[in-house]
Amino acid sequence: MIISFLFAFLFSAASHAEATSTDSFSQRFKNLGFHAGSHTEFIGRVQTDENGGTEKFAFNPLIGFSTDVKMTDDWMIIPELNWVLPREAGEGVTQNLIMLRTDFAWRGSDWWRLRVGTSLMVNNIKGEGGSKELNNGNGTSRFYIPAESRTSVNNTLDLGAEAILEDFGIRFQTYIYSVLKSERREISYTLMFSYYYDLGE
Amino acid sequence: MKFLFSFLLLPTLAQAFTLNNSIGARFKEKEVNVRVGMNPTPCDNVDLDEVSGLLSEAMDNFWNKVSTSRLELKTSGSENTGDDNYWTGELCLSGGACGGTPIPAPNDIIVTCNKNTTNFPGGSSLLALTLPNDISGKDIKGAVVLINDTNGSFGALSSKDKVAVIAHEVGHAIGLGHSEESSALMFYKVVPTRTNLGRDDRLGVTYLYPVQVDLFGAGCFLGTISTLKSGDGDGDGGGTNTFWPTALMGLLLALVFKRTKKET
Repeated sequence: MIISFLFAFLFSAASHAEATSTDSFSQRFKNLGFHAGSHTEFIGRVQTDENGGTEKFAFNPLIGFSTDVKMTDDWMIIPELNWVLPREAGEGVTQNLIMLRTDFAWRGSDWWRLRVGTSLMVNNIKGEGGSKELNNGNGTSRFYIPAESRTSVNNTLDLGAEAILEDFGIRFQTYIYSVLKSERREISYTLMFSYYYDLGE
Repeated sequence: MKFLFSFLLLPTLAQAFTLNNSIGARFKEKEVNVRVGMNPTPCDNVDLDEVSGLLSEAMDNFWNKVSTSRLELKTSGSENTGDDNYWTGELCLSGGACGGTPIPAPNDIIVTCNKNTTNFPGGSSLLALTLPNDISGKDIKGAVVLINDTNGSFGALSSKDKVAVIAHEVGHAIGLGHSEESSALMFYKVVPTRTNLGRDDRLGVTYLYPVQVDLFGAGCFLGTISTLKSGDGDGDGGGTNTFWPTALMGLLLALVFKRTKKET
């Protein structure tokens, strides 16, 4: 899958290079972005207590990087790779989320821009195996800890807004799962800070 | 290196989901039927017509809402099983003839009442009982949810709690075990307000039934989603690759690039 993403990225970049063959490398690839933030999954859809409360914000550290590829003065395309750091989802189970993303960004002014894009959300759940005795309401029963690594891959529609001050940015990025299927539609979001290293003109 | 990994592995939950079998068995098909099994003899304490009416709510409010899971539980009301053994039998733990509760049709989860005191010992506080009782290899063929008909404890629950109990038992039927988190539907007892699945439940159903490239919720094109197979031992629940969807994304991006360039 990573290979196919690279294929998509190179296809895009090669096409762009053809269309702007007179541009220099530095004109096309404006900068490198380095990101850090917190990712919250499925707002309002995850019960967090016995009284029906649901998760609105969670601290799940995320890091990532991207590059801005200039299309026009106001539009750019931004391939991005983000990684939500592994979360121990209980005893012997680890969750890992990698986002392979591409955004189209429209620059509203020198200090803000809007983004629309898509992601492949690669969500891996891995267990170490084993078993444990748990309450079953009438005594205890033996239940089993997962022993394999399994991965789900969702395609999301992403919307975001970003404020930029010189080399730094702050972004609110949303990811809409199952856009076309209302009963399964869910929204996750990331709040992130970015540092943009200018590649020069 | 180990220290670094430990640092990165940030604990956010104390407990985890579990499975109710050691092999991680799951239904092979994406769509699984959930029906109420009507016995020839009416239940003593459970209104199966009411259960039938609550079935859709139990599936749609919980298991059918998870975007990262491919599992779709289809409810089709009730059916006459024509077999009182569902009502009186002992829960069969394996396929084949066992002289107890009958094995359901393939790809079916049957919800019915049961008054066998081996399943529900005298004065049992258990509301219901489930095992995926027909497993072949790593595939669940079918399961039976038995609601306790030895006393009126299920009937005394509120409608919302009945929905939660049915959804919990169906959680067992699809392969999940209990969670120690009280926020999880798979916690062993009913909590005051159950509105959504907990994180444990979501992780569990995603682990058992992971989506393999669901394009915006429409299912994957090129027929890949409908050909998903499970239990092939690769740990990923299917052989679907993501090359074509991603390549299409690249192609679309390239076309937009060219068009934008022409216009400028």
